[in-house]
Amino acid sequence: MAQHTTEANVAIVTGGGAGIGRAISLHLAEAGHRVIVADLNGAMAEETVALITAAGGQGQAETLDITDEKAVAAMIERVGPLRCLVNNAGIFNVKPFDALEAEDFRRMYEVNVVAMFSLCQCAAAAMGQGGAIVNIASRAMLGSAQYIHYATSKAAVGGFTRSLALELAPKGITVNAVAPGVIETDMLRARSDTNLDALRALQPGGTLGTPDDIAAAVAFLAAPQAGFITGQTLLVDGGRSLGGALGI
Amino acid sequence: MTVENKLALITGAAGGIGRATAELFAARGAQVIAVDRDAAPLQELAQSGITTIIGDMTDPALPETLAEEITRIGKPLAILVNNAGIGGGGRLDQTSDEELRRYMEVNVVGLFRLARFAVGQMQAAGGGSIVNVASIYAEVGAQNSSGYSASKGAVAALTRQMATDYGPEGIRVNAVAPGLIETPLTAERIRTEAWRHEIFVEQSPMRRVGQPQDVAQAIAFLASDEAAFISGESLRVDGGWAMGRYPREAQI
Ligand SMILES: NC(=O)c1ccc[n+]([C@@H]2O[C@H](COP(=O)([O-])OP(=O)(O)OC[C@H]3O[C@@H](n4cnc5c(N)ncnc54)[C@H](O)[C@@H]3O)[C@@H](O)[C@H]2O)c1
Ligand SMILES: NC(=O)c1ccc[n+]([C@@H]2O[C@H](COP(=O)([O-])OP(=O)(O)OC[C@H]3O[C@@H](n4cnc5c(N)ncnc54)[C@H](O)[C@@H]3O)[C@@H](O)[C@H]2O)c1
Repeated sequence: MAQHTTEANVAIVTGGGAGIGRAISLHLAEAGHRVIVADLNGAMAEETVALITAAGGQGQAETLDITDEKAVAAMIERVGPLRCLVNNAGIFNVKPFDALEAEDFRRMYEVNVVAMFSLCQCAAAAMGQGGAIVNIASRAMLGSAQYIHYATSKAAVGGFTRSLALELAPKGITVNAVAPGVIETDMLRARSDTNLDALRALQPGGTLGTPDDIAAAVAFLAAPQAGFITGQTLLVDGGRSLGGALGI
Repeated sequence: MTVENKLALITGAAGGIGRATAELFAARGAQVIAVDRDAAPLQELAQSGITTIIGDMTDPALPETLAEEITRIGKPLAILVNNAGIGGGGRLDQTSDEELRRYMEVNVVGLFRLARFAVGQMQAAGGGSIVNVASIYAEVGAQNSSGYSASKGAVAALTRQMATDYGPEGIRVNAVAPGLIETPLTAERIRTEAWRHEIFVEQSPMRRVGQPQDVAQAIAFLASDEAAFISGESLRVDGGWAMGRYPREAQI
């Protein structure tokens, strides 16, 4: 991956304190960005920055609740000219349809959709002419049982990505999404209700994805080399969705 | 991007996208075998250390020639970029059986045959990565080019089929779907045909057509280990064109 030498090489990664966001932060730092690691959990964001620094990169931790519009605007103002934004922070929980309440939907959309909007609006203004936004969707967007509030919030990410791509294209800002399949994060491994072997059996290649798999796709779409790619949602799921939402 | 030291076979390497891809792979340290039926431009690639083979996609003996070359090099085939193709044409009522067959013969049968050859090589080696060059015309409705679009639709379906069949053997198969790309062949048309300029530049979200390098970068990413968990995907490299036309404000 080419190193960015322009001045505005700053990238913001939300939810960069853990899992996929941490890997994205490390990859973007390696590609030459100064990475602002923004996370609700400031201590975890600091840990990510320590890893970036140890690898010879530049990073800075920000304690941020992405649903706090004022805090988002203030942070982006502090950061200044921006080259890249990765909307990675998101929440997930399982709840069958008959048990769901409107409040579950609202909370899910507040974090996974509305906060993404606020971040994009502030970031696009800070990008001037040229930049890249990458949103993290999920293969759940294709349709998933037991968490319709999450699945539809991620489908919204796809529609948002295409629409904003159209609106920002004339400014030279690309907007793309990466839709991860099942990714083996520390959190997933820690969940007692998840049978990892059963999940592996659904994969054409027999393996689950890693945070690095997602980070590499994000780094590609964020780089100037992908400057003619916009509005796309790239599934990174090891081919799991080839047979549609249910897998093959 | 890690294509370094890998043996990569690139078809249609004398043309716009193929040539940019061959040069990018070589610059990233891959060992490239470049195939095309057009001999003269291949010679320039040969001068930069790329192995070149003059061959026709419609020749059933092409895989044999390639197998011999790969044996001579003594390295397993890790990557196939199925890029050779022919385009153009008109609406269905203007397209003869013969013309349709020509698109199918190169864009589908030739590509299918080479893919079958590469899968055999990759099975023996325990894995590999194939990138097919489809087209945005495989995904959205477009004026004219009915025979061409049908052939690229076949490439898109074959990509998913192969990814499903060979995923368990460690072979990833993806496609790129380029929008209008400026190559020696298309540059003239983009400049002189007003309607083409209007639709593909003025009304395209990014206000430009693509360059061969734009597509080469996407191919190199999908072929590399960075894309190890991506299979069966078709990545549009079209500047947002297929999402919808986006005229300038004054025209809305
Ligand atoms: N892990 C998977 O298999 C998988 C699959 C598909 C999609 N995803 C998506 O990938 C993204 C990252 O997921 P992950 O698995 O790494 O999750 P994770 O829970 O391990 O990490 C999410 C991070 O976001 C932070 N965060 C949560 N709410 C926040 C808020 N309001 N403000 C700021 N930060 C906040 C958390 O503190 C945490 O550090 C999410 O958008 C998720 O939906 C994950
Ligand atoms: N240029 C575009 O706008 C565009 C858009 C979408 C898709 N594509 C696809 O990209 C691929 C490359 O196209 P390009 O634009 O670089 O075109 P190009 O004409 O510049 O290159 C195509 C190359 O394929 C070779 N070729 C054609 N038929 C062959 C055969 N039978 N045997 C061996 N070689 C043969 C040609 O000699 C040529 O060098 C094609 O598959 C094309 O359909 C191009």
